[in-house]
Amino acid sequence: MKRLRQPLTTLIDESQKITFKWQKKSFSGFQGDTLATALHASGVKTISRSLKYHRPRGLYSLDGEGVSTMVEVDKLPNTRAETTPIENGMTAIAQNYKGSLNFDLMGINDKLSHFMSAGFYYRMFHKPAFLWNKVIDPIRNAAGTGKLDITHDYGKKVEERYLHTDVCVIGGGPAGMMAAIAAAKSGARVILLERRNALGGFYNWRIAKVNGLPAIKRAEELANEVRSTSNISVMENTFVMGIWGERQVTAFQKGTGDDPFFEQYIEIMANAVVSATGCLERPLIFEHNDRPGVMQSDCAHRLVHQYGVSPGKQLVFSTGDNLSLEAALDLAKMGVNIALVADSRLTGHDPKLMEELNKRNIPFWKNYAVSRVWGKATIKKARLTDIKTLASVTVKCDTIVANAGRSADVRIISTAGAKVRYNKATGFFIPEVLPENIFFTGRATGLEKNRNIEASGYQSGLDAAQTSGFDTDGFRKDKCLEKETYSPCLIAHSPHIGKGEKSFVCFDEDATYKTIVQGVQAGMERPDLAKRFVSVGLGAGQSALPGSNLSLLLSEITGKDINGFCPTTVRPPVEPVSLDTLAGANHAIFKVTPLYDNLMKSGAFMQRMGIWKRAKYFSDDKNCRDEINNVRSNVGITDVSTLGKFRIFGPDAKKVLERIYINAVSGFKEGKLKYVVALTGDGCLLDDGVAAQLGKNDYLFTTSSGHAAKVIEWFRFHSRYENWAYNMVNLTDYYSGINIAGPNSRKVLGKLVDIDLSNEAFPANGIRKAVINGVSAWLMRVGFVGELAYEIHLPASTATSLWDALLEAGREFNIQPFGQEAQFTLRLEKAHVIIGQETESRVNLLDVGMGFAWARQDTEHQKVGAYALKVAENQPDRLKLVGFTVDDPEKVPGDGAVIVADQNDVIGNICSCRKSEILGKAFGIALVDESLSDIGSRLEFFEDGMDINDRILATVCKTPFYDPKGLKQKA
Amino acid sequence: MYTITCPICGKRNQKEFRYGNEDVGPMPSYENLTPEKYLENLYSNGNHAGVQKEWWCHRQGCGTWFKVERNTLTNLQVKTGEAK
Amino acid sequence: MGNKLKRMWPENGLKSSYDAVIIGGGIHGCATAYYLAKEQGMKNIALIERTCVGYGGSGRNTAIVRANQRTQANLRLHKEGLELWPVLTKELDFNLMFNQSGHLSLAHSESTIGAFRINVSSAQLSGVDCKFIDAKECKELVPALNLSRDITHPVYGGIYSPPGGVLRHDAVMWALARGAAEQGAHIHQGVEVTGIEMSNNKITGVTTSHGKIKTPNVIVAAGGYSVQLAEMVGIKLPVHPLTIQAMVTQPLKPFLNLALSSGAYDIYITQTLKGEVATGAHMDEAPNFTSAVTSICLKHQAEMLTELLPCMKGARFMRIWAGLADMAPDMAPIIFGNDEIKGFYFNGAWGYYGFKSGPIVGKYMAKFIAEGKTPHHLEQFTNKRFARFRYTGEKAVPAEIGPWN
Repeated sequence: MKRLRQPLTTLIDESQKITFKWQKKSFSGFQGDTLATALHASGVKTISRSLKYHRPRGLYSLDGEGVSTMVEVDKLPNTRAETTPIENGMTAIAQNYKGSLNFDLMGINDKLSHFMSAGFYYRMFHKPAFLWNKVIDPIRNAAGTGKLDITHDYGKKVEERYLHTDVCVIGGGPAGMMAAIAAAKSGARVILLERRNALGGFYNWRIAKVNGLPAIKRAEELANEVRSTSNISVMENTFVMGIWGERQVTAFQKGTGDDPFFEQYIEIMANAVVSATGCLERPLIFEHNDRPGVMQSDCAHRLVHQYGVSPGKQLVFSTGDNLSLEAALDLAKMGVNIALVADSRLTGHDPKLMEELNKRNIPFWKNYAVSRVWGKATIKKARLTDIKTLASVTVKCDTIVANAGRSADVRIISTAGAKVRYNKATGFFIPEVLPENIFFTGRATGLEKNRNIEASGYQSGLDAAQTSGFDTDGFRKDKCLEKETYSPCLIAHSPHIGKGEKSFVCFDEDATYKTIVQGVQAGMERPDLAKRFVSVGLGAGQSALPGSNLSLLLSEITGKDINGFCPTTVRPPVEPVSLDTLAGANHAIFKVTPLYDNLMKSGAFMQRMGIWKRAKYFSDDKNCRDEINNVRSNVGITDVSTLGKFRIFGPDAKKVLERIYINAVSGFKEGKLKYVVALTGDGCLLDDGVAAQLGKNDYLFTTSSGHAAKVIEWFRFHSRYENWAYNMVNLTDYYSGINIAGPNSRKVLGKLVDIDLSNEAFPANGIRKAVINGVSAWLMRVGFVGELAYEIHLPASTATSLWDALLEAGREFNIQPFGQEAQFTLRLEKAHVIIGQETESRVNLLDVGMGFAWARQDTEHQKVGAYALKVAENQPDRLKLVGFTVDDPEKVPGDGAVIVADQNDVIGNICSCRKSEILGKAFGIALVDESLSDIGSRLEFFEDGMDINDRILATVCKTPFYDPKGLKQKA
Repeated sequence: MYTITCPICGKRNQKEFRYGNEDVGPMPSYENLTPEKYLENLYSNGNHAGVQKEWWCHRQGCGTWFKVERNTLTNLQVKTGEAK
Repeated sequence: MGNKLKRMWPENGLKSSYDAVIIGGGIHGCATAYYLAKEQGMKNIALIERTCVGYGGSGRNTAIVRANQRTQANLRLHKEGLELWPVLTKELDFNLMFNQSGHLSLAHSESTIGAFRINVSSAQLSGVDCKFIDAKECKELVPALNLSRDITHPVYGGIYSPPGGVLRHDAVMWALARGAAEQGAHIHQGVEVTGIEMSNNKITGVTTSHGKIKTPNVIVAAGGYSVQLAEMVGIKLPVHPLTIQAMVTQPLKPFLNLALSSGAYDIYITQTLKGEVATGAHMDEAPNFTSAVTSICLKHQAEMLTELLPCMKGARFMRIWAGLADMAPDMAPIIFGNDEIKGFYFNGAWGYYGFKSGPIVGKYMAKFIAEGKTPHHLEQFTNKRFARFRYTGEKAVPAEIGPWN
C-alpha cells in the first residue's frame, strides 16, 4: 500500500524494503516498520484471537499494553507485534486459534458468551462428578496464548548490567528529558530510561507548536541537549519492570542492530527516581469495542505520522480529550477520510482545534460517544449516542478511533508502593503519597500544557538531584506554571450499551461490563475480589488498559464513592520479561578441592555435596567392596580437604570455645586432640570435629565439610553480648587435607615424614607438627573409619604433590584411593555418627548416645544447648539411636526405611544401612522409639516397593560392629 | 529491605547479610530459668508491627554481628547500632 | 447458569454476641466456620476478617495439594485432606477445579533418595499412592525436563504421587465462605479485632473496630497475624512471619501436566488451567509485614527454572506477588486450645503449607471447638512441644539461629 508522507515525524525509510512472513505468506514493509505497522499497511487487520471467546483482535495501541497483538516471532511465543521491528527473513505466526485465524473454530465460544457469566466455571462441569476430569484437558488445550516447543532452544545472547546512579529517570518524553537535564546540570549522575527507540515521548509524532517549534522538533532539541550532557546516560528500547525496595529499578533492554545482545537485564540502584511515564488512553467501553478496526487515538496518530499508514478508509473519532482532536486534524490534513469527530465531553474542547475542524467541514458532535459497532473482521458501521438524551445515529465507517480521555500511567510508580487515588479535577488516578526520594512528574500528573509538562519535569529533576546532596538553588527557575483548565472525560462507559455483554473491560481476559455487574451481584465488589472473580487485569497487560475503568465501573454500578475503589496493586514486572533474559549466563558455582585433578586421574566419580564436588567412589562397584577391604586390610587415601579448619586465639578464646562446645574444653593436653561437639539451642547436633591447643590461648579446630562459613557466624553470634577478646581465622581453603588409613598407613607415611610415628611417640588422638614431602604440616591421628589413620593438613598448594608422593610411597603396598561411599560404610561399622545422617530435629545429643561428650557439671559457661539437654534428659518416649543387624543375609534395606509397629504405625527409621563384608549381612544404625531401643529388641522394617504386609526383620545389637575395643585405631 | 548499613562496611545490599533475631538481651542464667523463658530468648521474635531492634551479620563482608532498628511495616532500616 | 447472580455470602450486621468467633477469613477460618455450622450444629458463629475473604496467604498460594509429608502423623492428616476435595466439591456445589494431575518431587542425589525414603515408605504404609521413580521415568512424566548432568543439580530421580494435584485457591475460598454462610455463619469483612477479653482465664469476648462481641469461644486463624492475636491473651509463640514470593508466566499451551517440585533448586512449578506456569519458593529471612516482592527472587527463579525446564527460556514472567508465611522452627503448624485459657483456640504457623490442609483441619478444629478436647490428629501440633524440645520432625534439619536457619 502506498504510504502517506509526513517528513517531519516519519520513522520509516521507504528506500529499504524488508520482506518477512506472516502466517506462512510473504509480506513486505520498510526499514523502521514494526510488525504491527507493516501488517496494518498490508491490510492485515486480525492478528490474534482472544483468550476466552476467541474473538478476532487487532491493532489497538502502538505501545501494545495487552495480549491482543502478541504473536510468535521466529518461534518465540508471546512477542509484541508493536515493539518488534521487522527484519528480513523474519517469520511470524498468530497464536491461539484452531482452524484458521480468520475462521477460528473456537469462535463458537463467542456465541456461548451469554452462558459464560462471571465465574461460570465455578458453577459448571463439576456435576456429575466424572465430568470435570473429562473437561480438564479440553479446557487446558483451549487456554494459553503462546506455545512452547519443549525441544527448541530459546536461549539467546543475553547480558546483564548492574548500575548505580544518583538519579534514575523513567520516561524520555519532554518531562523526563527536562528532569534529566535539570538533575545533570546540578551535578548529579543520571540514567534516563526510555521504552521506545527514541527520546521524545508524545512529541515525536506531533507537529503542533511547542515553544514555536513543531513538537517533534522541540523533542529533537531536548534530545540533543540530553545527549550532549556527559553525565546523562540514555538507554532506549528499555522496558522497566518495576521499582523495588529502596529505589532499585530493574528493566530489560532489547538489542538493536549493533548491540551484541538480544536482550539485556539491567539493575539500577538509584538515590532518587523520577517517574515521567506519561499517559495511557483510557479505553472507551461500548458494545464490540474490541473489534479489529477499533483503535486508540495515539495509535491512529502514529500510524499516519510515523509510519505513513492510513488507519482505514472511513474513520469515526469517538474520543474525550484534546490530543485526540489534534490527531483527527492531523489525519485529515494527511488526506485520511474522517467522517466525524464525536467527543464525550460537554465542555473543555480546545477552541482552536474546534475551529479548524469546522474549517475542514468535519462534523463535531459534543457529548456523544460510540455505543456499538457492527462487523466482525471489518467494521461496517457504528452507532453514536448522545450521552444526555440517548438519541442515536448510525454511521458507516470501517475504523473507530476511540478513548475515554487519558489516564496517568501509574503502573511503574505503583510497584514502588505508591497508593493511587482518584483526583476529581483531572479524572486521573494518581499517587497520593510517594515513597521517599521518588518523584512523579509530567503529563501523568494531569498537566496538559506543554510548557507546564516540561517545567514540572525540570523541577522534579532538581528535587531528585537534591536528595543526593547536590545544590539546586541556583537552577530553580522562578517561572510560574501556566494555569491549567482540566476537562476530563467523566463517563465510565458509553451510553446505550444495554447489559454490556460485549462491552469489553479487559481485553486480555475477555471480561465485559456485564460480567462486572454480575460480580457485584455476587457480592464481589471490592476491586481485589472483583478482579479475581470476574478476571480483570490478570493478564499480561495487567492493569494498563482495564486499570482505572474497573474502579470507575464498580463505583458506578454500586453507586458508592470512588474512593472506596482504589485500583488494585500492580505487580511487577510491568512489562512481561523473558526468563532467558532474567536468567542470563549460567552462574552455576561449585567448589573443587586442589586434589580434583588427582582424583579424576585415579578414576573418581564425583558427586555434589553442598557447594563441593567430592569423590564418591573410584570404580563401577557402587558398594565399594574393594575400597573398603583395602582400608581394613591394607592402606587407602582419601581427600578430606573440604573439612573446615580454624585457628582461634586470644585471651578469651577458651571462653568462647567453652560456650560453643558441649564438651569440657579445659584440660587440653599438649599434643592431644579432643573430639568436640557443638549443639543448637534445642540440644540437637550442629557440628562436630576435633580441637587441639597450639600454644598459650591458641587453638586449632576442625568442623564438618561445608560448615566452615556458618561456624564463624555461630561463634560470633553466641558471644555477641560479651566483650571477649578473641580472633578467628578461617583456614579451610588454606589447608588441604589427606587422610591415609589402614594397617599399613604408618609404614607408608613413615617414608615421607621426619618425625617418629611409633605408637609410643605418637599415640592415638594425638596431633604433631611434621615436615612431610618437604612441607610443614599438621598430622592428626583420628579414628573415624576405625583403623590406624593419619590426617594430614598442609598448605593447599602442596596437596597435589603430596597425593602423588603418597601414591608412590604406597605403591609397594598397592595403596588405593577411597571415596565418600566407602568412608560411609567404614565409619558405619564403627557406628560413628554423621551430622545430618543420624541427627535430625527430633533427637538431641543424649538420644544419639553421645552423652559422654556433655560436660554436665559446667554451670558457668552457659553452653549452647546444655539447657535443652537438661530439660529433655528424663523424658520418656524419645527416639533413640540404636545399632541393628538384619536377620536375612540377602536383605539390605535402604537408608530411610521405616520401623513399623502395630497398625502400620511408623515409630522410627533407618539412618544408615549397608551390607558388611565382615558381618556377612546388612547392618546399620536407626532411630527408634525408646521402647524398642534395648539390645535384643526386634525391629520390623518397611520400605517403598514392598508389599504392605511384608517386613524385613532385624535385631538391636551392641555397637560398634567392628573392633569394639578400638584396638585397630589405637595401634 | 534492600539495603542494610553495616557499621563497618557501610550501606550494602541486603543479600550480603544474615538475620539474627530480635535483640532481647543475652540468654539469662540457666539457673532457675523456665523452658518458656528460655524459648523466648532462643526464638526471640516479638512480631512487632513497627520498629524492632534486631541483630544482623554481614556474612558476605566483614562478618560482624551488629544491631539494627528496622520497621517491620516498611521493611526499612531505621538506625544502625554499634558493631559487636 | 442464569444471568443475574446471587450474593455469594450476605452482609450481616455485627451482632453483640455469638457462640464462637473465628478471627481470620482465610481457608482455615472459613473451613472451620463451615464445619462448625454444618457438622457441629454451631450456627450462631461469626467469621471476622480485616480486609476480605482470601486476601492473605489463602489467595496467594499456588494451591498444590499432596500427601507425602515426612512424618506419618502429618501424612495421615493430609491423606484425609486429599480425599476431602471431591467430597467438598459435591457438598459445596462449587467447582473447586481440582486437577488431580499428580505430584513429582525431584531428587538430585542418592542421599536425597535416602532422605525421601522415609516419606515414601510412610506414605505407602499409610495407603497413599507414592513411589520412587528414576530419572528416565521423571522425563516421561515431564517431557520438558532437563536430564543433563551439567546443571547445578542434575536430576537423579524423584517421588511420584498420583493423588496429588492443584486446585483453584479462590474457588475453594469462596465456596467455603458461601457454604459457611448458607449454614448460618455470619461473615464480616472489613472488621478488625482490636482486643480479646477474658476473665478468670476464660474467654468472654472480643473488641472490634465495629463494636464489642460477647463470646465464650475465640478461634485465631489469621495466618501471618495470628501471633499478635495470641499475644492479646498473653501467649507467646516462636513464630516468624516471613515473606514468601510466587510468580506466573504468561499463559501458554499445556506442556507441564503435573505439580513439580525440587528441594535442591528450592522451587515448585505447576501450570494452571489457564496455561500460566505458576512457580515459587523464596522466603525472605527477616520477618516483616510488607508482603513486598524482590527483584532477586524473580531473577533467581528464572535461573533455576531454565536449568530444569530449558524450554522456559521462551516464556515470560508477567506477575510476581508475595504473602506471609508464618513459620515455626520445626516447619509444622501450631494448634492448641481450651487449656490454660478456656475457650481460646489457636490454629496457625502454617507457613507455606497451609492451603492443602485447610478443609481437613477446619473439620477437626470444628470438632475440637465443639467438644473442647484435642482431636487425635491435631495433638502433635501442640504449642507445648517447644518447651519440651519434642519437635514434630517434619523438618529434618534443626533450627540454628532461627527457623529459617
